[in-house]
Amino acid sequence: MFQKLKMLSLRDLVVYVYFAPLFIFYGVIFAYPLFMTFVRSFGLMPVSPRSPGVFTLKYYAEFFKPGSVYLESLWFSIWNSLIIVMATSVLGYLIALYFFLSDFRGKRTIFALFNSPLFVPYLVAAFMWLEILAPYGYVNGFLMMLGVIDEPLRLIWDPYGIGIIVANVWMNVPFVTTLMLGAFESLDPDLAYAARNLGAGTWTIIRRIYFPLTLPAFIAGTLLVFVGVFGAFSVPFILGGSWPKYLSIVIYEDVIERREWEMGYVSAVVYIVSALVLTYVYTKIVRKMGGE
Amino acid sequence: MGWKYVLKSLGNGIIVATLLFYVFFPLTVVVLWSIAEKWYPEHWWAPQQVGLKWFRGLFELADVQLSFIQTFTIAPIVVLLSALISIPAGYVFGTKDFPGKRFLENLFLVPLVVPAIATGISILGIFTQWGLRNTYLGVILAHMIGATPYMLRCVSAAFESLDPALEEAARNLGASRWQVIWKILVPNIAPGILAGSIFAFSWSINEFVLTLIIGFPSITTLAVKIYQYISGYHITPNAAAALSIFLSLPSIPIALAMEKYIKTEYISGVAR
Repeated sequence: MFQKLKMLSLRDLVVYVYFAPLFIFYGVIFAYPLFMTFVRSFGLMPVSPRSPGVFTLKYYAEFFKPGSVYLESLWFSIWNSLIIVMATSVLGYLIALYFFLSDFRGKRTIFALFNSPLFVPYLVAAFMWLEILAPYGYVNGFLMMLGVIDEPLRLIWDPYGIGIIVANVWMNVPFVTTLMLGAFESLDPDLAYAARNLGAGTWTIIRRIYFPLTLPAFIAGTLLVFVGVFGAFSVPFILGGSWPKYLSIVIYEDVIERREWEMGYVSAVVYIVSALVLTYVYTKIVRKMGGE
Repeated sequence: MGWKYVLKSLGNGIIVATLLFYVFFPLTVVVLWSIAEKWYPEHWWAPQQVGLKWFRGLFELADVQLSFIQTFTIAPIVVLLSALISIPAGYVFGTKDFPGKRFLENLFLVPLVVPAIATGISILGIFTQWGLRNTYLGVILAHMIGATPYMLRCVSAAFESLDPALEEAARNLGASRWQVIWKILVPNIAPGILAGSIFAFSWSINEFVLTLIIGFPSITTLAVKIYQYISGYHITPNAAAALSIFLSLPSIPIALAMEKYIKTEYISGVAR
């Protein structure tokens, strides 16, 4: 302990001076507001002068009351995000595996083109899927032309969040693919050669070598996708239905439309805590991957 | 080269075509909407009449002109301020080893993973009290929250790739402190700052949630305008599409810069 303290000489600490502008900015504009959100979720120091400003747990009680709209929307956000994450990670993994194992001319270029959705703003992506999945959009038009359906299907503003799922999968698959391709390419190629020399087929190599060795990266990527879609606003705002809604939309309506600041703050605390916990787990996994 | 090769090429062709169709078809639809001058629902497969009406119209509307002005005055200021606060920290990140470096690197991921709506209502409460709501400064500060981590990452990467031998050599040859900064440091760091600026600029023009919460109704950047055209009071998908194309243009240099400067976790946060 003392050894360690001694090593932290004054010269080491000077480096933190360089961080002062960043720390001041994020302290005042980011950390302090988030801290106040936490404080205010307990009814203290309220924004609105109408609130009494005494410590209370009643807003949390309202959030976690069995059958409350908040729990319902939290549950919807979770299961809808889980479907997105599962579809995204399975598709992303398989496509990465395909790009890794196959060999053809222009592979790099095609991979770069495939990554295009990463550079499309979320709002724009939500808008394009809104038009494609709309009652007279391409999907419904095509299905009706084939005679599969007579009436347009409700693919946007629907109670299952189909539009949200489709748009989010489209945006996030290239992210998982990029991450996984990196993981595959950092594996020692000798492992696969050795296995092949010992008589293993491609499927065995995938199952026994590639899959276990890339699992940490896979879990890390999955976590990050979950954090992103679970808290996203633009896509559910544009493509989500009137009920159930994502928690992010409920927060927006509570605060901006109904001025129920405290309920918004309680929901925000739930969001912030879950995002921080998942990101912490993510950094742990990444660190472990780097250490091995 | 037998039938096996042909089959394999055919398989690759089909898979690649499917993947590219999946990625590019939705983008094509936006382009179609932006040039569709007449497109009735019964004629769902393609617009009946195409032209550049919507692009021309965009520059004529007074409220869209104001949006353009607001968007492109806010973004450069966001870039400038985020660069100013990132450069000292990036220098230390890139060139020094110090206790807590790893922790700090992860700490600057936090602004990107906290859901934007949670950040939004948090700063809304504070900014309302400080009188920053509906002001340029409020929106600029809100944009900097998400733009700065990208800038910091790019600047750090630029300092990291700097060869310390260069500075040493210059000093040995008698260069003064300022000469070292101007002749060695600046030209070598500039590409990193440029890359960071592109990211920060793009973040600012695409930022939607915080701008809507903090800036609306006085500050309506183009992203907020697109939202208004998608589901506001005057729904006009064609105008939304034309604006979308305009907003997506900076993505091309970003795609080129990304490879070199950005770690994967930052990609997931781009313009949520």
